[in-house]
Amino acid sequence: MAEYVAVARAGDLGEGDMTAVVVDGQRILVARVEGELYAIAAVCTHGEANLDEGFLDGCNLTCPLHFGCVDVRTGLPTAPPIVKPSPVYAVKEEDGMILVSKTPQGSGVRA
Amino acid sequence: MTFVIVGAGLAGQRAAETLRSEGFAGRIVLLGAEPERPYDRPPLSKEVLQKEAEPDLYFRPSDWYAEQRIEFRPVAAAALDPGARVVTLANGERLGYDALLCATGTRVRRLGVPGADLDGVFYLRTLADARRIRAAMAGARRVVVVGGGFIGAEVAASCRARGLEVTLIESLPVPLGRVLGEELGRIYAGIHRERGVNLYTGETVAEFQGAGRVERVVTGSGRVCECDFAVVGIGVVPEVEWLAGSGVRIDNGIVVNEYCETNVPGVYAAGDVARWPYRGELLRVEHWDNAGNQAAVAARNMLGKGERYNPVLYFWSDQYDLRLQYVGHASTWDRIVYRGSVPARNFTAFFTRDGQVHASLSINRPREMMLCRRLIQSGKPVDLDRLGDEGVDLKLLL
Repeated sequence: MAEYVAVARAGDLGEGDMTAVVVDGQRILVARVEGELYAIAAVCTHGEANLDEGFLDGCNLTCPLHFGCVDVRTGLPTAPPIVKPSPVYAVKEEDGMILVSKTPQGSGVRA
Repeated sequence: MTFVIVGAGLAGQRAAETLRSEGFAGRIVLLGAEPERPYDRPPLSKEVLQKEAEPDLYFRPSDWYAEQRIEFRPVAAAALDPGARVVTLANGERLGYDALLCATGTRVRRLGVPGADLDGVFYLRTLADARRIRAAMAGARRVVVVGGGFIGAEVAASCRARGLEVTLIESLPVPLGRVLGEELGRIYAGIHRERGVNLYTGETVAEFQGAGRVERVVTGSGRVCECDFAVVGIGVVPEVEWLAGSGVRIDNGIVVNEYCETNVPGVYAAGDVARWPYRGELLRVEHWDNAGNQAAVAARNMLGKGERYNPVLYFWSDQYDLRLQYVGHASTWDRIVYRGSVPARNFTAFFTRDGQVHASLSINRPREMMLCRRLIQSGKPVDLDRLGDEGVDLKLLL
């Protein structure tokens, strides 16, 4: 079982929003797309950039440094120069809070 | 069907990847002039010089090339015979092709002053160059960097990060002036001086002196700058000599149209070596983003897709804790509009002409990048006062 930690109030993350949280020193991006929550590593697997400072269009997340793209649901790259999948964290909503797993639950997991 | 890609930098790599991802099942030969398999160059002036351990720069693991049936060969091209559709390699081998992409990039411009061939005078283009500079930094105290363009400015910042005393010599009145103009160049001059760089502008190098190894640099005005090593970054020249006599049109690079085609059928060019029409102006762009994107378009056109290359140009530069991001292209402008705080080094400067934004330069404002791109792509006139007002959401100006 994944160990979860509360990172944000659910009401603070609206539809199409994303935010970065820090869990055990790891920066994690949490996004809400079509009502579902997703969490992936916030640091781009390609360059030294924070994906949460990029642009989220539906489930497609564009990195603000090299404009590579990743599917926020799966962590899978969708446009170069990103080629390595992002680690994916488990995420859930409970009692008005958003909880994410303390460790990645996979990398490039298909939704 | 054999497609040959000459040059194994970002452009060559991206072209090979694109050919496969577009479903090309024929033979792909990727020729590189360096012994290394393709790797990413931007970290050479930054992370490679700053970090304790050398970062992994390779685009792909070594077994990827065999998996993708991409024949990477570390041998340069020596000549092209487009009539016979044959490229001759540096080892004398002749290789036939159906389509060929020239992605040979550039090589550094050398400084022709006395002492320039002394040991300890370095240039930076390749991983081998970066490793030599990295080795020289260990145990060194003082460095002279010649040239205040992006490579020189980044090397200067990296050397400061490692605690070296840095002297930066630039022949123009400001660093980065050729691309950013005098106003932004002045801001960057301030940034480098604040960080402890001895910056001499409007200054040239007369001579490198030393007993076998460089010990000092003498400037045009007679200054003497003692150093343990020197790095020269005074620009690059396109790598086109291998095309001599081929009939491929050369004019400060390989001239191509908006489909990345040269004047010779079956021969394409992309990346730093290519000169192409951007909004009515023939440009040769020496930036990472262009190299990858143009090569992807060239690859698709080698497959007959007929795609126009019509980008919003982009580059970035990391110096100290400042991330510069530049979108678009402006060779002239009538007003620069600032949004944010210049003294706090957190701002976007919009280069405008006739009320239209042609380019933007941001310092530490990654969140604005996509909006800047859209603003420039749209080409719509904007209210410049609102553009400069942080209280106005940029989205409202699109």
